[in-house]
Amino acid sequence: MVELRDEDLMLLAREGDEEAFATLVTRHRVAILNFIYRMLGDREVAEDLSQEVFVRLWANAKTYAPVAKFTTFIYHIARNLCRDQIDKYRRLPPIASLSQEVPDAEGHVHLLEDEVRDRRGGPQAELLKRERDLEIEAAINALSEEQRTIFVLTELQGMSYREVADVVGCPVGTVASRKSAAFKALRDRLAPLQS
Amino acid sequence: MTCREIRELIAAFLDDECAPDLRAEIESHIAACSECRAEVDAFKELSTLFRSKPLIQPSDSWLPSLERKLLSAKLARLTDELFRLRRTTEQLSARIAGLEQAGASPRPDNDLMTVDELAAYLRVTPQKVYEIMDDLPRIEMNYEVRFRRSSIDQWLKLREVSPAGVVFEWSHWVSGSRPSLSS
Repeated sequence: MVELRDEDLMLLAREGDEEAFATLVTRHRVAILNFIYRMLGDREVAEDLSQEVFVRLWANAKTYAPVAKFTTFIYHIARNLCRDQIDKYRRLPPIASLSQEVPDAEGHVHLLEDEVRDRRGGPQAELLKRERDLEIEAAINALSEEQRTIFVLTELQGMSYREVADVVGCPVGTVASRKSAAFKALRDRLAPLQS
Repeated sequence: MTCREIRELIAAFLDDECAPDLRAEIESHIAACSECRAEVDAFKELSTLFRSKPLIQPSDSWLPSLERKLLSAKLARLTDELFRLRRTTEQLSARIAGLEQAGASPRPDNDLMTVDELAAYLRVTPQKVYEIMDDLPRIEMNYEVRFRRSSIDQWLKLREVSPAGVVFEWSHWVSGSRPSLSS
């Protein structure tokens, strides 16, 4: 059997076809979860908001017109939810950075940097990798919401600039320049740590 | 192209979002410019690093949780719909009550009139109605008589004076003979 395109499934879902909707959920939930996770850096919030994306998708199915690509439609919803969440935080959400204070099992607060250093017992490679992951997360977290959206959509979801432009609501040329700026900001932030 | 312009385009270059001629131009620039080449390499490394990060998977409770949320959303929509319907019903009832009170409900064509109602309709006395009874289209039911409004209207139409000078001979009515149309 030929697999139905997302757009066709969405049209079926619009008419109340629950199976079509379930297929869309299965197809996109991992990508949406990871998009939100990369945007907000909080796994629990990402779980909750990724479910909310599909609730809104269902609630707004009637407004879906096949002129819009399905991915544009769903990522538009996801991005708006991320923005609302960011507004809630009132600033970009904190994700673990090396200078963040973390409580240990006894409740003593110390810097994550020290914790990383203290884990000398573990394999060196693992330690370095974890350190590196935290650095990258912190660097991505420092990007503006728009830069982060563009960066995550193109890098993680492999979206074309045209699609990203539709989701973000800006010209294609702006996507290109914003992404270069995001790269530069990431590199500038990560360079001192590399040396 | 200047280095500054090239830097703006590095992302598009790496993502293969450049037109072929622009791509060729960038390629020849970075072949010659070590600084821009270093920048391209740095971006490429970052991209590889980011893309190599494993995807997280939804927890076991993800799907049941979504189903719960969908159910409450559906319930909320049904409740809304119910409220909307109730409001519409109330508005309609109020409107019908208003119409009935104002007596504005239009009567259907076949509405039947009594002698008194016909007299009021024709603006004559009931006595006059009895006088011309034989000429009126009517429904007799034992000792009762009713007049169909549409038939009366037709009958009236025939007796109307037209601009061409169709004259209703009132004297015929008085004398009790059949009314006739004379031209």
